[in-house]
Amino acid sequence: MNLGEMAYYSTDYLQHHKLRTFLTILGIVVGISSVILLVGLVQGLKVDILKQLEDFGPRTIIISPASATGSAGSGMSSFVPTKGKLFEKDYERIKRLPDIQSITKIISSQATLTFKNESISGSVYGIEAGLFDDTVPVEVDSGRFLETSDRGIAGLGHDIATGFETDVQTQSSIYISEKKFKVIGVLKPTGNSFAPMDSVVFIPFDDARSLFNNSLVEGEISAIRLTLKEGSDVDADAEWITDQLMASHRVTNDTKDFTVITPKFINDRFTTVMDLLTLFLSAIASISLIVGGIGIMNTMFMSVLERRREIGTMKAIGATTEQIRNLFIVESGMLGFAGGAIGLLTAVGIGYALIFLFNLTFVFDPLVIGGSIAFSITLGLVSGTKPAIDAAKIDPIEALRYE
Amino acid sequence: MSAGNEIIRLDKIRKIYPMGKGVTVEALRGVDLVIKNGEFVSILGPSGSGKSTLLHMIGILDSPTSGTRYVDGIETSRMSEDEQARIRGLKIGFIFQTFNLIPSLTALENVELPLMLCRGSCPGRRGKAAALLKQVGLGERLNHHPNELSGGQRQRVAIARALVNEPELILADEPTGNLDSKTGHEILTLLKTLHDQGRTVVIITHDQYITKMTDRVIRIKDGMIEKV
Ligand SMILES: Nc1ncnc2c1ncn2[C@@H]1O[C@H](COP(=O)(O)OP(=O)(O)OP(=O)(O)O)[C@@H](O)[C@H]1O
Ligand SMILES: [Mg+2]
Repeated sequence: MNLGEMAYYSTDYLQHHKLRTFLTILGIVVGISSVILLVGLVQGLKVDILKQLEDFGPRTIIISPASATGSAGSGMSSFVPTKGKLFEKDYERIKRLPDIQSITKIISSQATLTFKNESISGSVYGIEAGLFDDTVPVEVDSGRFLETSDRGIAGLGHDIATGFETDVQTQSSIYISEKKFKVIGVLKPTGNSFAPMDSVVFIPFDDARSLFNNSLVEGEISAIRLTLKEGSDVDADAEWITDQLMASHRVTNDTKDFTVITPKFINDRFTTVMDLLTLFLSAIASISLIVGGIGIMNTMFMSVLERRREIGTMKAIGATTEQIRNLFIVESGMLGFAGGAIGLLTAVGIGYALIFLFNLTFVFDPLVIGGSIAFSITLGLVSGTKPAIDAAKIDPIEALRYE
Repeated sequence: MSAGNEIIRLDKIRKIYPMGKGVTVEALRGVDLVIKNGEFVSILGPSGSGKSTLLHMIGILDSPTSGTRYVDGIETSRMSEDEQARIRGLKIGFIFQTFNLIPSLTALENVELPLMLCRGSCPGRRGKAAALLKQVGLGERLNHHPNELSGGQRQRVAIARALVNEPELILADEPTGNLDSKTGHEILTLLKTLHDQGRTVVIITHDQYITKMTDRVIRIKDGMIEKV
């Protein structure tokens, strides 16, 4: 009996028991379709993030102190260590990199923003007008963005402008840490989570220097942003920057007190998180697969019991133990395969529905699909092994006497 | 030993079934029997006398507790289960009282089954099966499932299945036991035809009338063959 003949024999049997077959493979169907759906969704999310990173700027590098938050905000104590900070001299040093297209320094801090007696807390970026907007695309909704000679004026991110009871209009006044600024422009929403421009107030660099003077050390800055010329090797340049800063800060790779963020760096971080998420979701889905496998095993045990006489007859007409065993293993493998295949179709159906209804990005990875099918067949084979061995052991005399 | 003419030789065959707690049932108590090529033999005896056990012994479906069995002169009493299965597939055709067809397969597929189990290539399977079904009068029922056939038709399918591997020996355990007398008679006529074509047939029966059609009657009682 070859594989095709065994598959044929089993198909006949399974077709004769459609409802039972369907119920048996339901667990596998649910398990496989959820795995494919979950993985597809997570991978879709990854694609979305990659696209946002493209928008962030594929040749953008941001350098910030290792403790990116609180670097400038918690400087109330009289003793301020120089470790974990960036300085103007770092900026001057990095500026020497030949690949640089534009580079700018930023002073940033959390501050209280007050508009018409309403106060909220927000991020304030002191930027060099004309340089900052070279490293990030800035689109203005109303008014204009900061210019080089500006003093005492502010540009508002979209979420800040709409974050008060009444929307902030250009030409109105806003207080930043109790100092008055004139709103010169409001930016368009970007929606990009990697360049969080929407929740930022932009003011001139020198204004920020004096505004946050208390919390800053002499010559301290909060971040350096730069873009590289087209065709630059981003990774190599990031490494060069790292080496330069490690030398000037007298730190090693292990004691590094700054971070050089490249699109790749962000991507790697997100990939790690996404992979963890995928693993976690897959673990949940695999519970349903295990239940499915137990379902197959249970059905196969029942089926063997039911078909004792049939097995006895097969043996009487010349079937060997090996043939009987293989027959049932094949049948069980087919149950697994059927579950996997229907699960796949279900997932594709739901996946396309999600794409259509919610405009989600969904990735059908051939590796995941192939893997799921292979897994469900294996699950079937494994679940059927014990029942098949039992079937092969049946004594034909006993089985034929059995009424 | 004149093995050439003997299909089966049983020497002092005993079969003891353990029933647990040290209790045993002795189904065959020293059976000596020879079946020759081309014979038509019936086995007659009361219920529980060991007829089926004897037939299983002849058909290499069961191994004796003691004694020796020769099939075509080859000693088979200590063979492994799978070796026995192979010989059954080659030389024996079984017919049962309860037909024992595979319910999910069609008549044609049921008849094909022994050839499906055969090792190596067994060409012309389908054609052979169809021809045999035609021969037993079921040429119109090839694609019917067993539950769509009458008892007599089912037994005809079973006979075709027993013939498909061209066995030397056809063994039938009360083949008419589940049939009315008219259908039973038709089945017997069919078996008689097989014998007339030169096949060796052994048939178990309760029916005195049937024994009249056979060459030889073996009477069995309490696991022993009665000397005539
Ligand atoms: N597997 C078994 N385990 C225990 N006892 C058995 C087994 N098979 C048969 N026997 C016993 O062996 C004896 C002979 O059984 P067998 O089936 O050969 O009788 P039989 O002549 O075919 O009877 P019947 O006409 O009712 O079919 C009986 O007493 C039976 O109970
Ligand atoms: Mg019997």
